Amino acid sequence: MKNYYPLLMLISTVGLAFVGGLAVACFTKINSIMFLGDERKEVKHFHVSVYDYLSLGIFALLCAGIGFYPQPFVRVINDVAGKSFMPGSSSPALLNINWFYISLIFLAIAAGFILIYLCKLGINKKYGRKISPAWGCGYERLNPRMQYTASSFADQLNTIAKTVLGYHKKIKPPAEIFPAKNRFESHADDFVDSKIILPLFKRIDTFISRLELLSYSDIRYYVAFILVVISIYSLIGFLWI
Amino acid sequence: MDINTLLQGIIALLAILLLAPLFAGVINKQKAIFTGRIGAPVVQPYYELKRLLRKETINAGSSSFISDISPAVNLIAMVVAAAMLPVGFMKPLISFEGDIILFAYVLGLARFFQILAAMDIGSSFEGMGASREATFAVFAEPIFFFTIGSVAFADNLTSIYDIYHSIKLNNVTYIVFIVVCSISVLILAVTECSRMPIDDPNTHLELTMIHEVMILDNSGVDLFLYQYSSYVKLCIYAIVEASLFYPFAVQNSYVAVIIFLVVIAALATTLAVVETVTARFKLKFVPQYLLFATAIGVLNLLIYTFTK
Repeated sequence: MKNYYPLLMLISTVGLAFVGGLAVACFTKINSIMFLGDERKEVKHFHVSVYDYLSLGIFALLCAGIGFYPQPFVRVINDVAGKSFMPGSSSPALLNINWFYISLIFLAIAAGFILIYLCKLGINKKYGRKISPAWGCGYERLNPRMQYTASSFADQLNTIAKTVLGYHKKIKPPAEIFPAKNRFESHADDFVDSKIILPLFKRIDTFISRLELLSYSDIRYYVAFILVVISIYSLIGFLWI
Repeated sequence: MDINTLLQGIIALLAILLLAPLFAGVINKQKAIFTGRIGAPVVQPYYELKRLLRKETINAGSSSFISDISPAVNLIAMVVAAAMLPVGFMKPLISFEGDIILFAYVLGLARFFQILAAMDIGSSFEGMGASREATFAVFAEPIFFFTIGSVAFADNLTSIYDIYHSIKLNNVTYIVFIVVCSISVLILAVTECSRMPIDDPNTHLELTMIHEVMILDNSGVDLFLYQYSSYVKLCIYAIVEASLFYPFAVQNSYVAVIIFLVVIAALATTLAVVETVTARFKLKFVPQYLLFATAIGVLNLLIYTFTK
């Protein structure tokens, strides 16, 4: 019998690459919309405590630590995957990797980056550096409201997967030649939520609502129901023995 | 690693870094000839890089430190990725078990910073480019693993050098498998390097660009670093493709280097021909084009696995 485990691993890797691509798209979208460009409205009261920075800093340090020295963490994950999910099928490929190289290469990247950046600073010092408004393709009065939105960033990806995501847009077409105030909305429904979970609960709700005929205000009916149920259970118990 | 291999690796890396702009120049020259023009000299990219290096740097008002560090991160990522490739089928400077994953993600790191830097400007033009780059990356990344990854799977290897050196031409199924892989790699290279029919490196219409629009607000040394990185990236993908021809170069190292150079030159001509005879795809067709490359990669792998 052929061993298809490596094929399964390759397909998993490709799946991970796909998820990785989506993660890059999601992270760049969130990070860009929150931190980059200019704020649309001026934020007057904004305060972050030292403890907030500290708690997030711990996670950031952990991420950087795993990036620079991943060996112990990979070993733990490999053990968990090998012993719990696919007993006897654990791949030695991950453990065979000399993770020292990874650490060394990340250090080389850091060192190389510093070197290139210092060269860049030197060149900037020699030939100058200045700040100017962003390119507006001839339009001079750019303002923060014209910046790219998160919806626009995700639009192309959402459009491709619109069947699965239930992606839809609402926009009123302009009625006149000159643009007037308008409204635009885009939504992506959760496929599992809207097509599976919610319809299922709706059917259950419909079914349960039919049992409403058993709902009486007189407590004696309830006592009678309890007696009937107890009798049924007792009969089942009697026949079982 | 012995001293000879180390020197060989350093020379190979220097060759990529020095000759990368020439490769782009050769493509442009051939493209000009095919369209009936004299065209710029093949060393034109060097002149352009030199010009950029002497220009004043202008940054957009809303840009932050991300725009400042991104060009340098891009270049160093490309240099590290280039150091992992077997130039002339020789042992690269960086080679170890699992380097194929590092290679993919070092290139991913460059892409990640480029998207962030584009969004950092706050302009809609760069935003559009960044959105396109992020969307196409979702479809492009699996192609790499379904091509080079499937060659690795065929022999249970995870080092780029070992993967290429495991290619043999002793089985018809395997030959077909490698040929289809090379087609997928070519599609990937065209996409990743923003060449026709995905993107037009010569266009200057902001609304239709991908790579160029992301660096629209860069100038001086920043633009130099981005342009140089893109030349190195083009060279990297050319080597990824050319290395699939290893079985023709097993006799000796001199023949190997000659065959490698011939394949690289043939690739430059192929790219020039493709860019001459094809028009750009509409942006909405690009994901379909990439899914086609993924689909043939999947089918190729399945056929090979079940007929092996």
